[in-house]
Amino acid sequence: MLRYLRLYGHFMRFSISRALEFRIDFFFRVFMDLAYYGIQIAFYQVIFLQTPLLGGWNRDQTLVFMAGFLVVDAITMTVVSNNLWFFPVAVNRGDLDYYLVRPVSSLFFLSLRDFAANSFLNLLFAMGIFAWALARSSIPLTVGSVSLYAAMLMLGAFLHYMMHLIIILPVFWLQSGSGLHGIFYSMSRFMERPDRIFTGWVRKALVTAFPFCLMASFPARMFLEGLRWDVLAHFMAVIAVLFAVLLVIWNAGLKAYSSASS
Amino acid sequence: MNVALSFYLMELKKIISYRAEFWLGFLGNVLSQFGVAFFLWKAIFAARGGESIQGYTFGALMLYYLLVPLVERVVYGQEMGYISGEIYDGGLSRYLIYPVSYFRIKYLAHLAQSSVFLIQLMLGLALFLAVFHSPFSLTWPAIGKTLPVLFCSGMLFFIFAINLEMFAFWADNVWSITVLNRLATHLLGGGLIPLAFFPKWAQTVLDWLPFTRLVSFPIRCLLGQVGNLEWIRGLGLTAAWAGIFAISGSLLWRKGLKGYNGVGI
Repeated sequence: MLRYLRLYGHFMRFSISRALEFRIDFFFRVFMDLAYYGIQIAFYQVIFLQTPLLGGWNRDQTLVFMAGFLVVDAITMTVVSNNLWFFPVAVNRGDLDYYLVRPVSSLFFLSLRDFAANSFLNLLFAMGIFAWALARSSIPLTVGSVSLYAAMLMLGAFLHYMMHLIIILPVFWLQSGSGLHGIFYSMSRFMERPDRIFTGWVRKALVTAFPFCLMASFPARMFLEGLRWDVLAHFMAVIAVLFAVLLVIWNAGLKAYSSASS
Repeated sequence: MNVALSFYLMELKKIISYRAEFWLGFLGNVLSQFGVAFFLWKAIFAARGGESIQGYTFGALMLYYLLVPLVERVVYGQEMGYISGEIYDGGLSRYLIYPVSYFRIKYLAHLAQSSVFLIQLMLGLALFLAVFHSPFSLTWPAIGKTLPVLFCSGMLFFIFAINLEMFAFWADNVWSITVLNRLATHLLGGGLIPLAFFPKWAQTVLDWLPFTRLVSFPIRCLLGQVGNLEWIRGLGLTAAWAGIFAISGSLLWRKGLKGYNGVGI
């Protein structure tokens, strides 16, 4: 474990020094993510000009949810997104070989090698928006409730990572993987809206097989409406099942992988 | 003309050669945008009651949201990064010795993509009208107004996008600027929420900006919401913005080429 932490420290140092070599790009990327945050805030401000409630939440409660998904997005952008973006390329070109021969977990190495320093700055901004949204809500803040919400958001980010990886893993059997990213990003739009607006079989799918509603909505619900053990159990069960599915597909993918000729 | 046609047909072949990815991307994008909008506005109509909001019934709003990704694809045309990529890897050099303008070649590629996306737009629209009982009916005058608007909006987007791509002559990476452009166009052009839902002061300001001409204006033309005078004014504004960006693009191109060494990164 300590060896992995040390290794991750090396990844971070290397990524930060590389990011600072391209300073204009660094700040463009920071600005791009800030614009995304601004667009989300503007979107909900305009929506609440038309309605007092959205999925049972008022404006302030929805802002707490929105700040939560911005944090989830910023965590994944910082820690895994760059790595997953290049994963299909690594499989197609045979670059995966270099990861497989290292004396560490190849999944760990592939998922965490590139730490996005610019997104880390955006994570700080997202946390600022999160603190602002919490402060303006009428919910009494306790160390316990805020810590639970933060912990749930971290698990939401883990779910986000697993879903992204599961969706792009078919690249082991396909010729091109760029369309798979498109599918994931299209589906991740469902994460950006409160879960209660979805109904019927779509909602069932979004809280089980494609758990985009669990990533930010469920953590916000537990913070805004109080801890419910059945909801927490459901959340943890989905994470466990998804992790098992991920490992099965990953191992099957490695068996199908035939280096540069794939 | 023959050269132009050859480039156009070559681009069409490229698009068709990745059919599965092309249709998968199309369906994923359209269905997810439409699906999220469907549930979002269903919840809003349920929460506030009433038949319509800002003049939009639920059916009309759904048609608007179906048209957003379809029209955006026609207007945006080719994927991002095609010019900046050639500046970075030095691929631009070969175009400089061609007897055809570099931007003409790129615009033909843009048109090839747009023409395929136009077919998707028609298919999507026909499917919606066949499946749902819509208060909207497609009229020939509306189609007649929309086609030139789509052409001009596509040209405006192309000229604006190449301005941004040409920052590659100086910046390490311009991917984030092009993404920023799409995000801004999606919100300020009325792709995320129809502009009628914005505060009045914002609608007035946005009406003069180029973003509205790229998304909201073509959709409103197709829905038959644009009168003749507004149509002429809209086309005039589109042309004016395209002219402004063409001038700035020309300056950037000349300045950028002076520093371009063709080596690539």
